[in-house]
Amino acid sequence: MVLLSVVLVISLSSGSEYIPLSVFWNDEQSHSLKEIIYTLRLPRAINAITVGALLSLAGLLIQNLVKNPLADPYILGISGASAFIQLLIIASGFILPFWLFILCGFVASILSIVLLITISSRNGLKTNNLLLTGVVIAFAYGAMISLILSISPLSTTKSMLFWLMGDLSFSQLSFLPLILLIIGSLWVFRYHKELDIMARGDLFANKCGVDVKSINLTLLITASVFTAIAVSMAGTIGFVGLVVPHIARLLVGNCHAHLIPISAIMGAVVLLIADTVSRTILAPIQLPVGIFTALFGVPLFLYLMTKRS
Amino acid sequence: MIEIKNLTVLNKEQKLISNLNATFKEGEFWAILGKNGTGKTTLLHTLAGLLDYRIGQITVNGIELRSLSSIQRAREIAILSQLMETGLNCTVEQNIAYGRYAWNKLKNNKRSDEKLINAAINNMELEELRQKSIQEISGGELRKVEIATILAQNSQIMILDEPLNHLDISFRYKLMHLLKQLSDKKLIIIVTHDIQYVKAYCSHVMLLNKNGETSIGLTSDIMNINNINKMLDTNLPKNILL
Repeated sequence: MVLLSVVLVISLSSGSEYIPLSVFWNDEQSHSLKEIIYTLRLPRAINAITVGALLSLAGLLIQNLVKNPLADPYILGISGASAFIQLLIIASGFILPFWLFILCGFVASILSIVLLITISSRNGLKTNNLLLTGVVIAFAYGAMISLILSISPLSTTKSMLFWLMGDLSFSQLSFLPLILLIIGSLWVFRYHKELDIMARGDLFANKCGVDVKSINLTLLITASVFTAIAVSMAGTIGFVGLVVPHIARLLVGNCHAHLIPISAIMGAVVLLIADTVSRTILAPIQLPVGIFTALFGVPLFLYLMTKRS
Repeated sequence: MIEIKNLTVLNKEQKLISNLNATFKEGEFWAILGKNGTGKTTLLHTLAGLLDYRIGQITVNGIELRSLSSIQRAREIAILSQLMETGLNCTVEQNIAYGRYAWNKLKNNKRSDEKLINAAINNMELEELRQKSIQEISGGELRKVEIATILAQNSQIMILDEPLNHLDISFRYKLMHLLKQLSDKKLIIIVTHDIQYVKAYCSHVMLLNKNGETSIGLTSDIMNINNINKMLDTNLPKNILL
């Protein structure tokens, strides 16, 4: 939490123009500097924290669910549905209010989850079926996204590509996603002991008395909603959901009582740092945040892995 | 007590065991024997509530097995399966403590839990491996950890699918002796191919024949060369039972 606070302070101060936080207790300073922080940087920082933590937690749950360390929140096609609908809106030229744009992406993701669960759980929810169905659905969305990109005019292609790589530049101040994150994290934390046992194997957990089927379904829905909120707010930001849970494991081990909060905090830290760098490194030009999540996270992950081994 | 009435065990659509009727009671040590592919593991998993059944009825202490919740089921029945998953890293002690989940669900282990966990570790001679990762131990040691986990689970019914696999000869005797002792107060059911151990330790047997028929009863009545040859569909000499 200390690390997150430090990164938040740096993030709020950094940008095209350096603004020391002392402006808040110094009345003589320009009112417009406070406005920049309140209306531009703070919403963006809050969204980066929320999206980073949501993606990281979703990644942790999905990796546990499909027992595959290479799984990420996007593997089940949840992000593809959101991206497809949102790109379709951009391509069609409709100017929707930003909240409606987010809502369309969220609804598409939820419908995609319902489709995925309906198809893959006809004979009971089996993780292999889930994974295969999800990957196939994700391919279908990928093809449709490529089609939209291919036939769209060049003027809209750049904003579409930004959205596909993850973009926090449209952020508006709303605490609803943050509140959902806190409620969702506490909800996931309730299952920390079951997650410990299920990480050992579903059959093993079932024998110990864990209601594996219903917990898997609950956690799949939770991870999907987390992903849906994140991608509808900021596009498909890569790397966070895949690698941050591993970074957390390297830091605190496999006990989910520690892993859940640390994954959320590390996800928030990684995305906040990446976003701060993406909007300052070539300021005033803003780059897609997805580029920097990987550029910052890969060396951190490799360093921790080498240190551990 | 487990009561089976008119149970038909299926593997997908293939009938493995037809119209099975049996009663297993506390104080009995059962062995289920049969050729490969006769449905022993499927039957054990069905009795443990890990597989559903469509035809027939299974009751545990008078309650329909499928109506029990996962927690209630694990409190009544502990099962050792043949498949040994290792999943993510955890220590031997943590793994054995997971056996207490059905009793302490979301709380930390109580003193009584620790007593059972320690007893299971001692019985399976795992003291030195307590803090080792389950991914760093041998197949035989992992088998002992799995057995220790169901000992810590301390259910009234213990079902073990080929518990002697991976164990050295001296430990096999030790385990069978322990199971025999436990069967004074619990119901123990094992699947094994070692007929000498069955003759020496088990009070009751169920022989599964290839055509789905069964021979059920006291070991002294059922374990004769005619029944063994019928079960295995072969012609073994009498002295294999010595």
